[in-house]
Amino acid sequence: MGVVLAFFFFMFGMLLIPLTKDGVTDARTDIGCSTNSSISDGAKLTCLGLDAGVPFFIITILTLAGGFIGSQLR
Amino acid sequence: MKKICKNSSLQPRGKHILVLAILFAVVFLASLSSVKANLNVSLNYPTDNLTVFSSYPVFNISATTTNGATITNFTLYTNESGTFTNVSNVSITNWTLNDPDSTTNPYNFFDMNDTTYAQKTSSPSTSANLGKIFSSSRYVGNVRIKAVATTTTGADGAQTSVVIQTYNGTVWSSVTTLATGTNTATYDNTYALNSMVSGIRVQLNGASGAGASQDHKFYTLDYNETITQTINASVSEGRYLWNAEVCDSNNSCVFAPANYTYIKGNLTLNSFTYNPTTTDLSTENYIANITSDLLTAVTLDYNGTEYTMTNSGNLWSYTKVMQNLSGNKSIRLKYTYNGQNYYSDYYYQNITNVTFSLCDTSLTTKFLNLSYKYENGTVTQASLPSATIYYWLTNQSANKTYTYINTTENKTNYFCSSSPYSLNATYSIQYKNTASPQRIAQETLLLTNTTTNKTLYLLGSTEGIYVTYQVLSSVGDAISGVSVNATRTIDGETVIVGVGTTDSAGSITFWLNPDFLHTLTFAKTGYTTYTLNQFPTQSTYTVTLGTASGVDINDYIRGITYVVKPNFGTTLNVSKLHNFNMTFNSSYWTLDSFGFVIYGDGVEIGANSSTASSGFIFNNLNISSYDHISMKIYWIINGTEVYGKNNGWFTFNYEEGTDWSIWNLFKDFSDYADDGIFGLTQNAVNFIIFMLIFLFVGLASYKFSISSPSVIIGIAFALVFLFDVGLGLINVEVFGATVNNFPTIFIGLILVASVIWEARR
Repeated sequence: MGVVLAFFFFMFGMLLIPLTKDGVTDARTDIGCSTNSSISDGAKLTCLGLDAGVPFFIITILTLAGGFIGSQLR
Repeated sequence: MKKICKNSSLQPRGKHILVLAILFAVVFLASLSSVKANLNVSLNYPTDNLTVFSSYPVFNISATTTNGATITNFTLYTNESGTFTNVSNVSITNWTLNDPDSTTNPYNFFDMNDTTYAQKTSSPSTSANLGKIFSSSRYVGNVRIKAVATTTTGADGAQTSVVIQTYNGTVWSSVTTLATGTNTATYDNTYALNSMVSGIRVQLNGASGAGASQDHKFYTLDYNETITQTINASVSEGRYLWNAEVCDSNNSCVFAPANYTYIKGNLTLNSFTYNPTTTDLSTENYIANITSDLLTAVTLDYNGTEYTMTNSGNLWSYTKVMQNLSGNKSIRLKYTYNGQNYYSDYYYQNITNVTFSLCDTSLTTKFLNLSYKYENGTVTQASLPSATIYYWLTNQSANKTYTYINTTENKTNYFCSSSPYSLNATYSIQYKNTASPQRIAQETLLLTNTTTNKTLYLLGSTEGIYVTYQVLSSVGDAISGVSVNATRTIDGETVIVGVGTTDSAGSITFWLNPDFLHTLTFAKTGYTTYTLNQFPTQSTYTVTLGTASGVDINDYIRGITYVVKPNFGTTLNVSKLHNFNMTFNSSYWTLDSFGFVIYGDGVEIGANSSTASSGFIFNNLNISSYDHISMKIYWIINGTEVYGKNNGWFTFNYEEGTDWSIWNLFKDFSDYADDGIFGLTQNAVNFIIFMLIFLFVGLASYKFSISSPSVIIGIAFALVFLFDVGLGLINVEVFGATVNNFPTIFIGLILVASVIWEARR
């Protein structure tokens, strides 16, 4: 069951990644993260949060999938 | 309105006064606005977001005023101190006196406030000048002039004129005659002067002579001005805003509409080594020692032509062969820094021309003297149907050619040169006289300003025969290009009486004396040199050349070695400009040429070649549009083109697809930290990273009960390596200097010491 859940979360997460990437790209473009060096400190912090979005989403998916498989192996 | 009047406490007369007062105010304000000066400021340099490398760069600002106001002050502001602060100031002194011819003239003819054109003065002189001299040269745009020149009595029909003149700081010059007339000239218009001047004035000219009198009337004279001012200011490394405030004589002060950003880049030209003076045909090295962080290419701009310099560490160099160059040439360096091009100051190199030709009054240093004798020792004279002389200094690829024809017979021919150095020269001279058939002399000599004397020998028409030698290979094929040399002994000296190379039929013909022993030498690369001693009594001889021992004449890869960079098979980053180069060496064959052709996805995108037998050739190429790059290497020996093994590279865009990566997160963090975020300094970043490492190592040690110092230091080393080398976030100064990856090296040394210490326990 754990493997099935892990597979489910992994596949579901992978399918969501393109949507997350598009969202991050749109938000970064709107704020001007890459193009405008004179954005406010708050906007810069938001940009860093957006930057972290996709990597941590992937890490979360892998952690969940690994957790399900790991619990099965106990 | 009626209602207002009914309710108003003002009497009708009072109403009229009020209306008049309002009208007067409106007219007054309108008149004020009509003469209000308009001041505009523009920032010229550094342009927005431009990188400057000087610590004391020039800021260039232009300001324009209209309606007669004058600019009084330029003030430079930057935000380097954290707030926008005045960092430098330049005051502009206005005109210094009214008129050089009439310093006591009380009138200000630059009076735009006077819209009525009231007459300012009348001058009784035959010629009157009124205008202004400025303290510095400035751009004068439209000049508003109203003036009347009149010759009143005593000279009816006299030509009268209104002339506008400009002052260059020394003399006045007439720009144009604005109006002319008989007895009266009137000008009332705006004249577009549009030039940089130190003063302007209007000259009114009437008739002169007995009985003549004039009545010149100036009304007004006005102008717009534009001043371009440079201000030097110290700047610090980083990215800052700048602007300039300009004030005018109406006490109006204006900034440029938008702040500009300048970036103080990290690029220092430590030295630029070259010879300020040199000679034509020499080989010159240009070496720039540059310290920088984002420098990707340096180009030598030599008198307008660009040459890519090769890089080794901080040194960028280029070797240039001077070919047909003379005079003073400009040199500057073009830096490609962070994707943008910047130029150094100009340097100059003076090149002395090197010529070699028949001596004349302008060329008197004798390098070569040709004289002529018969083979029997009698001195004679000769004409030169054709003489071609190649000459060079040390690099034969930098040569010049001198050709000379003289159908008049002379006993001697002197050739002179302007070269301050020794010259290498190869001559091919056809010479003859009326009593002798033509011969050809060919030789390579080292010529100096101590004259080299060469005697060329002729043989009388009745004393010799034409002898043809045909050179064949061992299988009977004619061999072309064989060097043949015919000598004989005259007065105890071995002299050349015939020289040349075989033609496509393998043949060569000499005019020789059959009564004397001659030595003929036949030589060509790949064949055994053959020497023949004979009395040439026959008209034809056949010579067979054997191949050189152990050498296959078709072994065109013998002694050929080459090294190509980048190494074949490596993956190239498409976002960079790549230097494709080849070091080629031929230790056995003398090559016609060698080179390479580079293809991007099968399409030729670059090539380079050399006519030397060995050397270094390169080509800088942008490969961003190609998936695969290949190189065809070739060399040509005796007209035969030989190809090396084709090979190539794959390309990869290392930055593509990294927009959502962890690396991008840390790159943005680093950029924002540089630009400033919540006042975060580098020391604060270092401290945060230290705390992260400290917490992680501490928690890991506690959680997993790690007590080994080596393991704990190993974890710390891994984290320091990640933050320092991997992400580039740690930047530590050691005794005031930045040492790359110092934290990683330091922790690494501690780790090694700890492991050794633990192993020895």
